[in-house]
Amino acid sequence: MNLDVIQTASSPFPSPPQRGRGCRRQERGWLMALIPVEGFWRLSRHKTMKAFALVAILGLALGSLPVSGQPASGDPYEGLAKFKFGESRVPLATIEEQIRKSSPAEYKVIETKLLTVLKAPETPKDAKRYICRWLAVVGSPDCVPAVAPLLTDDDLSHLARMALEPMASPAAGAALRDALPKVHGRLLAGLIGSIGVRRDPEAVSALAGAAKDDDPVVASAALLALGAIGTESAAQTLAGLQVAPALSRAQARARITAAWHLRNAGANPQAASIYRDLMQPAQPQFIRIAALKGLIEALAQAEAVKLVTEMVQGEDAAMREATAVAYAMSTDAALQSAVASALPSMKSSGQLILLGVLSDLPDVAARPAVLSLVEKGADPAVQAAAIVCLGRHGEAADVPMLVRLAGTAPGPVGEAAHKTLDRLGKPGVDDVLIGLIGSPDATDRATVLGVLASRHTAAALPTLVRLVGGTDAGLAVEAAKALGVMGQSAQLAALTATIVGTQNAQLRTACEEAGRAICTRAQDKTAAAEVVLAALGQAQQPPARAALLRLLGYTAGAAPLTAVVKAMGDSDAEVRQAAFRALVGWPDATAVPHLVEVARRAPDSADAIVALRDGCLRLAAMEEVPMAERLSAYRSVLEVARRPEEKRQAVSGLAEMPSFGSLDLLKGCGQDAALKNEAIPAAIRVARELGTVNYTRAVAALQELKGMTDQEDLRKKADDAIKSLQNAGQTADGSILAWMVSGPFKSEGKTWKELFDIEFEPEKAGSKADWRPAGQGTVSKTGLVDLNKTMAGDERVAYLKTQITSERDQPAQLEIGSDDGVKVWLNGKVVDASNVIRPLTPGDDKVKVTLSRGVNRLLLKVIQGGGEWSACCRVRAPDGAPLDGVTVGVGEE
Amino acid sequence: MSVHCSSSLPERHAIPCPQNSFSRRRFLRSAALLGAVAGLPSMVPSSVLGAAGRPAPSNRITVGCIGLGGMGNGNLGGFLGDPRCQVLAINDVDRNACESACKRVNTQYNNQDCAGYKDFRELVARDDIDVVSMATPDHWHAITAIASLRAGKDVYGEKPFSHDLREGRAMVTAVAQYGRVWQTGSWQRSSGDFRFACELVRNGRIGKVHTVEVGLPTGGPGGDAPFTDPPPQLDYDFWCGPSPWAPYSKDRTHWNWRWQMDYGGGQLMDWIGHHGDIAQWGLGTEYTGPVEVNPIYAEFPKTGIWDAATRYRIECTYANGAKMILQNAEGQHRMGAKWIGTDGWVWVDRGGFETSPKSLVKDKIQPGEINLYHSTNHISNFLDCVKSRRLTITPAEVAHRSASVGHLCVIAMSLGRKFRWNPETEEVIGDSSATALLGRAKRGPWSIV
Repeated sequence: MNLDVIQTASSPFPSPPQRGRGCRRQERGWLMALIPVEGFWRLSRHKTMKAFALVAILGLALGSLPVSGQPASGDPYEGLAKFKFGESRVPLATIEEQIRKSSPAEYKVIETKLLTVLKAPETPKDAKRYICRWLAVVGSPDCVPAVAPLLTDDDLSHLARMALEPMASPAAGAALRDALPKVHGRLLAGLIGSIGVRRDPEAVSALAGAAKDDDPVVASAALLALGAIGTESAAQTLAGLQVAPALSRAQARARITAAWHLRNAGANPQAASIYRDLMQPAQPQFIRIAALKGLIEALAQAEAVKLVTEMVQGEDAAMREATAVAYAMSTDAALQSAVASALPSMKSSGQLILLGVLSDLPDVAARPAVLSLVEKGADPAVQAAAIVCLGRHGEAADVPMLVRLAGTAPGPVGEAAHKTLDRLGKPGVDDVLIGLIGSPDATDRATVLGVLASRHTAAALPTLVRLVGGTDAGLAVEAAKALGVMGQSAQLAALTATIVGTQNAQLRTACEEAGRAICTRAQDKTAAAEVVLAALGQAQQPPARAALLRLLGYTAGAAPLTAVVKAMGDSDAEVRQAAFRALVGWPDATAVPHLVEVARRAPDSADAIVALRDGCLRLAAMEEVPMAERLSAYRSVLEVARRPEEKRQAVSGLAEMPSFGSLDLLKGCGQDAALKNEAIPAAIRVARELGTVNYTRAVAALQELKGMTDQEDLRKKADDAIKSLQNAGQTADGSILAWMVSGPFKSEGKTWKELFDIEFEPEKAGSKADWRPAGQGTVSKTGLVDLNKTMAGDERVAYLKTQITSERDQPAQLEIGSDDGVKVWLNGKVVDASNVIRPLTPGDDKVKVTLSRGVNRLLLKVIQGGGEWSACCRVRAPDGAPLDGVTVGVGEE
Repeated sequence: MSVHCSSSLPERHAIPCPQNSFSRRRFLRSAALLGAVAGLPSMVPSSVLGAAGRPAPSNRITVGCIGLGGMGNGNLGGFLGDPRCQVLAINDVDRNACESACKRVNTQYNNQDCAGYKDFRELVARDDIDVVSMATPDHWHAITAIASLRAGKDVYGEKPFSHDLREGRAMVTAVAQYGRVWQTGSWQRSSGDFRFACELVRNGRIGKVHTVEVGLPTGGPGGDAPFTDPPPQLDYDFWCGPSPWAPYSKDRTHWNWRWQMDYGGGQLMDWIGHHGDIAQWGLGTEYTGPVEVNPIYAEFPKTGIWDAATRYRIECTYANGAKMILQNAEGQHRMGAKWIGTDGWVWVDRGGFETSPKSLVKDKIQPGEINLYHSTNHISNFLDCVKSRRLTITPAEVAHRSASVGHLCVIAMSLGRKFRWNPETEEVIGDSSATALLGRAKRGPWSIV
């Protein structure tokens, strides 16, 4: 770990429960390349508490540790007194920590020390910059005499203001004012800005002078500072200033600010006067908008209502909008209600914009006026906007009118009514809607049922269930549709009972569709199956049995599958067909044997094709089905299918499922003249993907495939794959991707440190350790092996091994990173041993080695203390350059 | 000084890239008139003519973009992709970034009209620009935003809302004074999972909420690259702007500014406008804030120029006793927001949404319940509101309150002690040092007054 980033001083806070980190900056580039940016910090931060603890212990043992050439202990103020940019920041950080550990009562001591350094003539300016910052926190009026002279210093003026600007002391304000005549340009503008922040009323006169400065930057700053002061005196001064045209906007803005302050101070008439002045047409539009908005807020209510009502329907769209914004932001509820009540008599332009705003203002008493616009209906756009607005202001009593409009009004008005019914949230709305189910008007009834479904009104469910079983078939159909949208398993029985009992095909279909939706949503599909099976037991009529069998296809479990299979032998063709359809669409692979049996019994039938294609092959392609079952399904299709089409589809699916099982099946297909053109390329592709898992087996398969074809292009593809596999075990920059992994290994009561020297099976001579490929989930594309993915836990080790094949004897460098420690063997010889707790930093260990011609066996033992657990290794030339003539693969296992 | 008055500038700083700085709207109107009189000239690109379902040019929302780093470019894509918009101008103090963005705009519109500026004041001074997309480093947020608002622009501003609390209040005030529309780039609000999670919490599905855990990324030390001359394409002094000048290092500027408190606010402030904002939304404290802020622990780098806290845990207590715990996400503490109530919990992150009880995941918010603001596209929501003048899903006050939580945490970490806060008056109670840290003096000539 690099000592540059160690926090040697104790934290002012309780010790955190997790660990900090260390990571060399210059190496982060490679680390960032290895780890996705989002994961970088998480990974690299995880480890360090124990690392910090370790180093802190070392620090205590060794005395003070060198940190960038500075003593970690000692008087930080001595370090501060010499500080220049680019030097160690440790003394500064130490003082900051002291401040954090100190109570305000203890600040005086720190302030005194800081002022001593500040006043020392030899103190560099860079040190003074920091002192001024801290004086903002620990400083008292006592520091003003020492800081004030810095206000005129080009380099320090800003920092001096950082100390003085927030200081409540009048002395700070005086210092800022006193410095005004001593500086110019940006220093002066900065000073003026600080005075503006302090809203110093004693500075008005000086600022008035500065507002006439030749420098427009200074003059503009002075105008705005006067506005920020915002007293009557400042406002009058501002109004009286004759400024150049180039500064007129700054002056107007400053007056807007001044008026704002005046209004906040209760001086509304004075504020209103300014706003009126700024509403003149000569002002830019955005100033007029701000002035109008301010004026509305500053006026007495009656005047404001009149102004808003007038402006919101005026000819100027921008001013209309400004009025609406002012209206929306007003805190005067009476004003808002009064304006709303005037809605019916406004022009449509004003109505439209206010209706939009009122949709965001539920507390304004706008309902009567909005209702009036809905009922008036003179302008469809206004009517639609009023209906939408009613979604916020409407009540239960408005529901019948909205239902009628939703069912009858064309275009946007009807759509708005639907939308409003969906969102209307006042008490009693659902009750009125449920009551309207009994409306004599069929359109109303249909509308209401749709709305109830859309609103997911649970209180309507009993009524819907009753209607489904009722005598009014039309209503029952609508109710069934609503249950399809919002029904739960509890309503399934009512639907299946209707399916059993009804002779009405339309109703049966509606119930079946609703039941399908409920079964699809059901968490407990077995329970749903029981309901359907119970109804199936009651059903006599073929159409009902067929419908229920189709429903079973959306449930799960052995019992419904058995029922479906049994029904495939039913005497009724409709029932048989429904059962077959259910089987073909069955949701899991338990249906595969039955589907295969269908195909086996009548291999040339259309049913066989459907069973294999829509049943077996569909299930085999589902990623959520276990791999073994998928393979089995593909194997069955290849065995049973008569037509090449289904077999080809199986080949295509196997090509998307890289495993040695797929590879074996594809090789078998490669012997089939009708399939070889598809199977061999697919097998080559799969073998190539398996190369990093088992190089030897993959290459052997590729060689075999090459021998199975006379086509030159396929033979070349196989050759290319073999060639690419020879180096598939590493990235372009030499990071190793191909690893076998063994572990985890633990030893009761042993710590990570002790585990390092315990000889576990993989490092023993003649080892019989259980090795497995480190899969893609464990090894990132950049070569980071995340052992926590499969072996999470503390105090344990894992081993990684691979083979580096070199074209010649050559020197090389292994660049290893590990979290935590690592021991490395090359050809049985230990070449690296770091028994440490550390975060992963690629290349933390750089080891010079010699690679022999041929196979070199690399073994890593990666130690885990806790937290993250990972490793990486890169093979490079001794100088860190890329290394030629090297391939990496896991070897024979 | 004023940050708005282009005539106060000693010289124009338009960057030499394909551009015209005259009013595009004027040009468009002229072109339309020409078309009406003499037939459409064949060289006028279709994008100018309102073809392919685009509004007529005079009805388009004209856009200027300030700050074209990662987020700025992302947002630029959003505005370029919305047919209601026409991007007219680009500003960045890095000439390469400016030129690249101009080129992108011109390629999109198949013309050479986009103007590039080094000085944002020139862009803001253009009366033909309706809205500003602002994505600068944090230390520039308030100055560019306030200048834009005071020039009558609506603003899409990146998070965190502000660089300190006083700036935030000044920005909110400017939005209110000038009646402008503001959207903050807290785009998680326009994502269904986040809204639904907040609705579950707000509607009492997990009972009375007593805690919300906010998991944020962990920072890191660094910033030890050598001091050098700034690259020629970067006006480094301008880049420093209102913050204290310090020698240039590549570790100080692009991207890395986030880890320095003079320009950014570390991981905490980078994410406060996301998960912190969502936590506030769920708590229903969008228009208020905590009453006490207590730093449990914080770690600061001691070397390098990066000085933002890297690991931290701060507890904020609200008036109703609920606690918001902000912590860098490590170990068992996950990224995202997790509200814990008397009857269960809800956790949400990008791509993650879990509840206890599990059935809440499929719950339905009824019309009579709290249905939160619904937006599915953050930029589109902003543009809708530019047209309607209604509040966006992340208006200034709400964004300011979310950022305030972060600022208060930063102050508490800086002082190493807890303090009390009055969210109504936005005043620290009984701690003058904490009060001093609510704002910071700006380097001249910059100011937010």
